[in-house]
Amino acid sequence: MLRLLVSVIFVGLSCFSVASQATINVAVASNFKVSAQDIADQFSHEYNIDVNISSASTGTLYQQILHGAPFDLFLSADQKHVDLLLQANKVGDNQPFVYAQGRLGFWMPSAETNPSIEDFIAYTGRLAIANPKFAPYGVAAQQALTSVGKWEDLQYIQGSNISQTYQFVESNNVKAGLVAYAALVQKKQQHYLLIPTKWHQPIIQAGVVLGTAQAEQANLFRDYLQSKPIQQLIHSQGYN
Amino acid sequence: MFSEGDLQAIWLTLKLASVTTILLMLFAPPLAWWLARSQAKIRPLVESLVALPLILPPTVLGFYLLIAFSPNHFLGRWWLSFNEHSLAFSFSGLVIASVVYSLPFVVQPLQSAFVHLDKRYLEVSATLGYGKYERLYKIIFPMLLPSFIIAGALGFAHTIGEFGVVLMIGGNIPGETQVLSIQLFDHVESLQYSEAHQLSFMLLAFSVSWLVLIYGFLQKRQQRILNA
Amino acid sequence: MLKFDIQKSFTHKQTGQTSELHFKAQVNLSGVCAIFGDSGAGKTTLLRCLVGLEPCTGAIQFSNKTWLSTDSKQLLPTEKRRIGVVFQEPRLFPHLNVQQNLQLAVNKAGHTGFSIEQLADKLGFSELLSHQTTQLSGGQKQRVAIARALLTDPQLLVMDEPLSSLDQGSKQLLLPFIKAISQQIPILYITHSEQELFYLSRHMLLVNDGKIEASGEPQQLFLNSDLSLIKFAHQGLILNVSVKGYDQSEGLIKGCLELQTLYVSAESQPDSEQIQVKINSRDVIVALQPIVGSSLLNCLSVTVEEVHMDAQKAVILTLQLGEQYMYAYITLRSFNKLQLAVGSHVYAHVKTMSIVN
Repeated sequence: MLRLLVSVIFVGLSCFSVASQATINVAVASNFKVSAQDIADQFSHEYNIDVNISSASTGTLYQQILHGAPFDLFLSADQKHVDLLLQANKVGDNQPFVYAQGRLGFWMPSAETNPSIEDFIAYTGRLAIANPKFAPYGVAAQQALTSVGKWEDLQYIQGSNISQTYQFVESNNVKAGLVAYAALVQKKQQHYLLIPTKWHQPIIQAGVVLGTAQAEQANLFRDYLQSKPIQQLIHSQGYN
Repeated sequence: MFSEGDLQAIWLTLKLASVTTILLMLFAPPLAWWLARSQAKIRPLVESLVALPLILPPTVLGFYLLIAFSPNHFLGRWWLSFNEHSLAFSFSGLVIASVVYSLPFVVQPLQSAFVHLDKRYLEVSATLGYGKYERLYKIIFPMLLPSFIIAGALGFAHTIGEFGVVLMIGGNIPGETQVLSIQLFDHVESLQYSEAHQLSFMLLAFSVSWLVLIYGFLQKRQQRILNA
Repeated sequence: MLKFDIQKSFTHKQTGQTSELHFKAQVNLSGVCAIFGDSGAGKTTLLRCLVGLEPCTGAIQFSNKTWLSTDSKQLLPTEKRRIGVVFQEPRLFPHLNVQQNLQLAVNKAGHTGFSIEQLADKLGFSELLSHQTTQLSGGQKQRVAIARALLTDPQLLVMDEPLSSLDQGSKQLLLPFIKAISQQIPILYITHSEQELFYLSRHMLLVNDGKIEASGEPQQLFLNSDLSLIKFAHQGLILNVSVKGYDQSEGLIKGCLELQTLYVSAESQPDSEQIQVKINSRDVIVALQPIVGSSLLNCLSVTVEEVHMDAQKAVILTLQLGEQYMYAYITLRSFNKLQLAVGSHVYAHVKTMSIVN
């Protein structure tokens, strides 16, 4: 009886999924989630392929993929984790690609105007950054602060990812932070300074197709992501 | 074996758990007593609130605490009126969060002990001349000592294992908010697996022996007393 | 002097019916005052109200102190009333050993007329002082509980059927002890054992159906056929006998009951001049002439004082001998055959009897 029931449910479910369109599962670093969702909606509309977005920190997604999570495409917030997957032979013959380059913003909501570079260099007290040990924006923040000789001078409130860092500043629990420029654009925030790119290694957000059965559809989405109009869209959302 | 950062995190975690446990042991017993004895209409509501951290994702608690700690809100403003920094990302903030988060783990064993406490022992205590409060701390407290230890030990252990809330409001400041579970998370996220293994194994060993102490020894002892 | 007039109402959870208890009495406190009555009559509730463990309304006065007065909104909490309480079950603290249990009372009361060692010695638990209470037998526990109550330096000792679940050995040790203690501290003593009642007390409160039905000397109350006690009494009455001698070889006490001789079997010489014996009304044989040539030892000359017929067509005769009374339970057929009536002079032969003390 139970076996019958299970098979009925199973058959029912497979009919259901057969009836729907093709679907790809995309793992997205949390800082790119909102943009990715936007782009995926347009893509589904044009290509009639469903896109499921799963977002978490790059490190977490990397762990999941390493242990066999069923993603077809990985959009990391850095280059490193993509390379690690490459070394672990988890991506087949697929080559990594760059889909966006992040920018850091020094955000101080309580400032009267947009802070200047001098203001940033003169800043004292606590500063929110992403964890420089593993978060790409955190690594860049440390580099930027080191390059202006401030790294040793401040106390850091570390978010485990750049979204959390944003949240720390947004809730006023800390006065200022180095956050993702994209988040500032998306939330239409004021009073920030765009950190010059020469102060840190580029925050390259790379992706890779994961060589699953849906590789063909995943490749379509990759190409779509790199197409000119979409790249312009990404640019307008606070990426280079 | 452990790096300096790890040792600092271990020490900080023990400090956090100790302070939290001491605070909880001060006000959880009266609360548990009230929950065990009161007929008041609001008792189920209070009981639910106390139990809330059992089912609520720690991130929810962390999120609300972050908001409450901010200068935009009363608690945060009040705190900032005599402190330089926000409650968030501070040891005190973690203590507040841990007290809330570990509250049910301390209240529930006590409440259960108080419910099972035979009222007749209170009557005898009164006839021996012990007043309303005196009989509690001179007689009932020693009698239910195993339950008090269990409650404290569970609160302590739960604080040691606390992660989600600290992640939300800690800010990962070494020596201030960078506790063991966060340190462990850092190790995993930055792919330092052998360090992660060391800390994980230590936590696992601690938890197992702690629980064996609680359930294998203390709880049996208490049951023996309560069933006598 | 203990004076009380208290009310308490109960609502039964299942039936929703309310029942009202109303206790009113005035007791001169010396020796043991027994509280006697059927189970469910409200004895324990009365005691708990007096001790302050059960909320009630009304007034309680002890000596010149007010324990409770609803009118003037006074309430002295239990711990201030200085009552030593022995409950039906020992209620020793399970986490402490015997010594520690007793120490708890001493710590609070300070110096009392008793010491732990002295009481342990008298009550025979000296060797148990270091034992866990869980290792003790029921009798041992209750002895410790009695010691504990005495160590609180009480001005009144209250005992709720303290011996009801104990073995004969413990009872025999504790009854004389309680009686002796009552010379120093007045005792309120709940019992439904007539034996304990007659042995211990010169005064009793009869509790029936949530009220104090009567108060007075036990013997007087047992003879009063207007009281609910009569159904106990009809089973047999207790008589006071003075001891004239004891025959070791035959194991017999020669006693004097209202100028007549009465022989009572006993294992040893009684230690007091007065003994109390209970004569079961079914063990009394009534004859118009003394029976000769039988094994019966005791033949008492008595007068029929009252005749009472019960529902089972049996007759209960109240027989008077001097100042005291006994009952005889005979069939209606015998009653008719002997043509008995109030005032008849008969001979009561007693088969067996038991010494109460």
